[in-house]
Amino acid sequence: MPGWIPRWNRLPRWGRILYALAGVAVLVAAGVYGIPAIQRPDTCHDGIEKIGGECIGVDGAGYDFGTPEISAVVKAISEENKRIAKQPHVTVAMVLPLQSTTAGLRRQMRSDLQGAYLGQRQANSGVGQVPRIRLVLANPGMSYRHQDKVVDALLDMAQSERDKLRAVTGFNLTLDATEKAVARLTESGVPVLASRISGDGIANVEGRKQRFPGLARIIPTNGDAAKALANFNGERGREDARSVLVYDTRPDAYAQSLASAFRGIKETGPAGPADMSFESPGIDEAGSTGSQFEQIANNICGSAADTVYFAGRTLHLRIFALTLAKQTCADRHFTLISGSDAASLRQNMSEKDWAQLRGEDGGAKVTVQYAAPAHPAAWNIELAAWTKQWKKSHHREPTASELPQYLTEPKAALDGLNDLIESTSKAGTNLGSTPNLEDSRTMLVYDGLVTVGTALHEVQGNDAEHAPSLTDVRQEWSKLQSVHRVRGTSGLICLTSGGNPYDKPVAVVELNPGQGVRGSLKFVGLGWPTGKEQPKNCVIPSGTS
Amino acid sequence: MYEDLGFEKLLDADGFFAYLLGRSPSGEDRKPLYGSDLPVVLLTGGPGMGKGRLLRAVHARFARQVPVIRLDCASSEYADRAGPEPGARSAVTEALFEAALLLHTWRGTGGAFIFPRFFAGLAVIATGVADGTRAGITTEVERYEELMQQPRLRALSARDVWRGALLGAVRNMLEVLAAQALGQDGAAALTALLDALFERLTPRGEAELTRIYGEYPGAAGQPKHGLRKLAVDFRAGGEGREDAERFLFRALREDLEAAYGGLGGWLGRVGRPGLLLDHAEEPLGERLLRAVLADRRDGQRDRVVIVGTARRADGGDFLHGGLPPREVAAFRPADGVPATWSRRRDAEGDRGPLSAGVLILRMPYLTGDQLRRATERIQLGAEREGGADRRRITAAVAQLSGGRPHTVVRLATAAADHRMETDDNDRAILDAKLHHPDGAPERPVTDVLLEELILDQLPVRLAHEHHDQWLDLLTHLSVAHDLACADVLLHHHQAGRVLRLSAHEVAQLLNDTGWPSCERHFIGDFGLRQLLVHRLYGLEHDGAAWYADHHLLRDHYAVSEPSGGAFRSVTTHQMNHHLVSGGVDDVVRHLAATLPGRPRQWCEELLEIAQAPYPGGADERRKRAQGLVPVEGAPLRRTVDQLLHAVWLCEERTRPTGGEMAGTLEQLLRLLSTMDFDGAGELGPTATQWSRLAANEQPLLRCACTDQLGRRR
Repeated sequence: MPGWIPRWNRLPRWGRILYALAGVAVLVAAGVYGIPAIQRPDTCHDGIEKIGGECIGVDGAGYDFGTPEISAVVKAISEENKRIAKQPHVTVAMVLPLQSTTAGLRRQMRSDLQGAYLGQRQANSGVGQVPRIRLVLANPGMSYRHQDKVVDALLDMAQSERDKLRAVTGFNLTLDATEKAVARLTESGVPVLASRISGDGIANVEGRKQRFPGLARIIPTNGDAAKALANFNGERGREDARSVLVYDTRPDAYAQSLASAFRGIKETGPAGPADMSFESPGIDEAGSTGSQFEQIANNICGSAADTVYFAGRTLHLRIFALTLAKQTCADRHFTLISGSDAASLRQNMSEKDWAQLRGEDGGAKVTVQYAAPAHPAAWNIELAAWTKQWKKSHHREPTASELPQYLTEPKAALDGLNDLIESTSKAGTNLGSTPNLEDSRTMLVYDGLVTVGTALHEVQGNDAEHAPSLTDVRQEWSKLQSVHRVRGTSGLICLTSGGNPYDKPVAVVELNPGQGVRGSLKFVGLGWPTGKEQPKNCVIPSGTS
Repeated sequence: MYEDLGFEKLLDADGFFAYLLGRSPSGEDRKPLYGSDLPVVLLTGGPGMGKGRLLRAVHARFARQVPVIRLDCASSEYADRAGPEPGARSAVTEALFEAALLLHTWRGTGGAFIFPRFFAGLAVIATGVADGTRAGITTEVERYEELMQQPRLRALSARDVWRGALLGAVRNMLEVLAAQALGQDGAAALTALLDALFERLTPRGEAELTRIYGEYPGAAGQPKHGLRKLAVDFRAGGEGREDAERFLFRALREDLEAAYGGLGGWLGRVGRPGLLLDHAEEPLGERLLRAVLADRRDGQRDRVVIVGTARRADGGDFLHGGLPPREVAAFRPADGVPATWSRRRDAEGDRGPLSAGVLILRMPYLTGDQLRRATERIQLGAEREGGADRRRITAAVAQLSGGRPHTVVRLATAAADHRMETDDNDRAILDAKLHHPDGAPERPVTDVLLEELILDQLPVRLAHEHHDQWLDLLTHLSVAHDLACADVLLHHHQAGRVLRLSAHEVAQLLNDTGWPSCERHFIGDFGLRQLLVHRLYGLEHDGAAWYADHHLLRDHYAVSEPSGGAFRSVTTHQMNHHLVSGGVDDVVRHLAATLPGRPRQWCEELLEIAQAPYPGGADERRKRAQGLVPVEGAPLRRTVDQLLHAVWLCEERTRPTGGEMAGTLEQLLRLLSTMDFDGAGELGPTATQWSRLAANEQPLLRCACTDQLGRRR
């Protein structure tokens, strides 16, 4: 205590009384000001709470949530928001985990946001087309664990006359937390467009009561993707004796939906090996899966199967592929078929891993085939193949009108996106990096925003100042088909009454050890969940919805 | 530099005074000791024990935190100031006035005190001024007016019921005085003053004055009567004046009490006010103590801490009311502070002795450790060559001072520049010169100490005509053992004086001064006795005065045949004086002749004879004890000669003896025990006993002064 402050026990009574009064005043002040101050949440930024080291909240003014990789694109979004601030606009929220300790994941976030920005630009580009979209970013935290806070904020924004939140998009992981967030938003009447969710659990089932009223999705569910893959592989993939299912028993919406989709494939011929299960400790934990796979691979070796349906996450897929490649029977060639999560496999494989998948002759022991939601090369390759086939039967070049709409329209959309990327780059807008469409994220998020924009423009009444209601938007999803189909870069988007994309094609890609050091990812063709291409003008046949 | 020496525990933050005054020296709150009935604390101890030093230290440490003031009752200032106006002032009123002024200027926590009640009393006695004129009375009253002045800020507050009323009344009164023709006796002035005073007084003020002066003997609850009677009594002098003074002191304490009471006092005042009365054994101090003790005995309660000094261990005669001293609550700091104190219940009730309201704090002798540390600290200034020398000096200081703090400081300071041989008598340091820090000429430390301990602190009741011979008388009495012995010397040295002091009177005076006798020595304090003996030896050339005194006593106990007094027999007493005045051989012969057949009594006689200081000059006792000096005679006589010198050396206690002499004692006694005479064998146990005592530096023959030496260890 400094010398000039008299000590308590040296004071006369009046001094003590003053001290006591001062003490009471301090306590009262502490009660009045201090306790709320302590209880006031720790913040990272205006309106962004700091919870457990993560910055949770909603922002559209350029805050990058502490992730430097996304700073530039976030700034670009905020510039676009400023540009349209004076025009009639509504808010669309992009829900996506925006912080990570892994550099790869942070780059993926950038791809997502680049798609969002480009989609926003595309939706806002029509002359006189209102409402414009103000895009805000919502960070629900790692694995969506703080989604409740973000959903609270979004619900408030939906009610707010100032914000006029009319749709929520994003959602890149099929998790229980994601499901909860989607459920709560849709229950509260907020339209949700999930751009990259494949789990069957977060989808409305056609013909039944809608679990998520107002949910729209733009990529096939795992079930549809599995069907598409089976259809793509034709008879080989359906032969019971030659195929086997390996699945993860850990409760994981993605793995479960994938397993049930693979089981749903109608098999033919003599019975093959029984389904084989393993149990992993977590999405990114190996645990004892190595030894489990050893036995499974052994059993497969002993069978006649050469097509393995794998219902599990990337990490376990990788371990399984390597284990299978080590088996003595590996002179046989195996094809592993898995879901969209396998898209990350390529990034997770080391050079040594690739070498292991290669045979002594350099040929592949194991190839991994999976259904990617989109691939930028799809339309050109498919169109060339179609033309070639057509020429073979017609002996002439097809005219433009003869070309199949399900290929030309997505191709045009993709060309549009490429043009937009180029013009953006020319205009000097920094997006942090040049968007790379190969991992499909940018394309899908872009398609999501374009779909939302289309719906908003469709429901906008004559009065430009009167923004469409939540209900308008919610009800609009199922009208986006036929003439109102959305020409997505990932394919035509025609939504059913359950908000699911009808017969949305998947890009079947094959991951091959190849000769290079990092393996190669090859587009091998389009798979159709219904087994055939989308009908003309994407008119959904009756009985589907 | 040595202000706190020995008082550290009493003065520290958790010491006696911190709890008595309710604050630590740094101002921290302390739960005050004792209840509303406070004892008057008396510091008792002889000269040089540090009573005044302790009061100064208390004042220096605590006066910033609590209103503590110190008055020196030995100061003639108060009497001098009272002198010009004997009818209106006395030493007591002047001392009280000074106390009030000091408290009025107190600027610590709670601020200045004002003294309206005390002022009222002073104002009425002011009418007794010598010339009795208007101007005289007015001047006298105005002199006290300051006690009513409030500090400027406080004066604005409406809290004070007095200022407007009483000061107004005084002004009014002075105007009235100016307008009246006054008689010579001041009675008319007194009446006018009282009328004016009560005319303007507020009811609360009047109630306060009624409470205090209404109690005045004969006032019958009328403050006006009380004040009038007070003025009359004061003017009358004698016991009446004492009553008046007692009431004035009570009024002053009531003013302090009022300052602590009420909301303002409760909020703003801390601790307890203190009045430290140095030299309270002087008449002024005694009157003040008597006043407060009598008031408190009669049930008056106040929180003023009164600390006085007393030289006598029982606090002084006045406390005992002429009765044999009763047990008084007392403590030594080393034994811890008594946590509670309650007034002694006497059968006489409020007529009992005043000692019932006293708590005695016996001034502490320095402990061996404190003494060593203090001596060493003082000596650090002077670079000594060898550690042995320093140890020798420390031991000599310890022995000669007996732990009396003032003596320790003086001796150690003087001895710092003094060279001392290992075998020197402790008294050798008494020759050391004391440098005065202020450059005054250096003087032997003996002279300085005797001046400070004796001349500066003469017995209060010592008649003036004896002041000049007091030190000389004590010097001669240093060789006396008992009253008879002393009377012989006094008779001799006061021959030619009309007014003489008897040994009984001297003993009484010494006792009052804090120098009590012991059963074997007229001057009971070992250290003082050594100083006086040293002076006596140096009084005339070659110790002529010393020899003369001893011869006088030797001859007295040879020719007449009174009882032996402090000794077992007249002969023993005679032999004691004979031994130290050149009669060694006679004493040896006497001892050798009386040994056979009665060894036990003989040993006791030997101890009595040999308990004597050694005269100055070359000291051969050690050599002679060890048989290194050739002596004529039979083996018995030679051995007795050796033994006598050994015992003499051990009993003097101003020379290192230790194991060597213990061995010699044992050897000699064993030798005697083997000789061929009746009862020789009985000396064996004595040999063991004496050598053991000597080895541990314990006295062979105990008395009060040797006990005091022992206590320090």
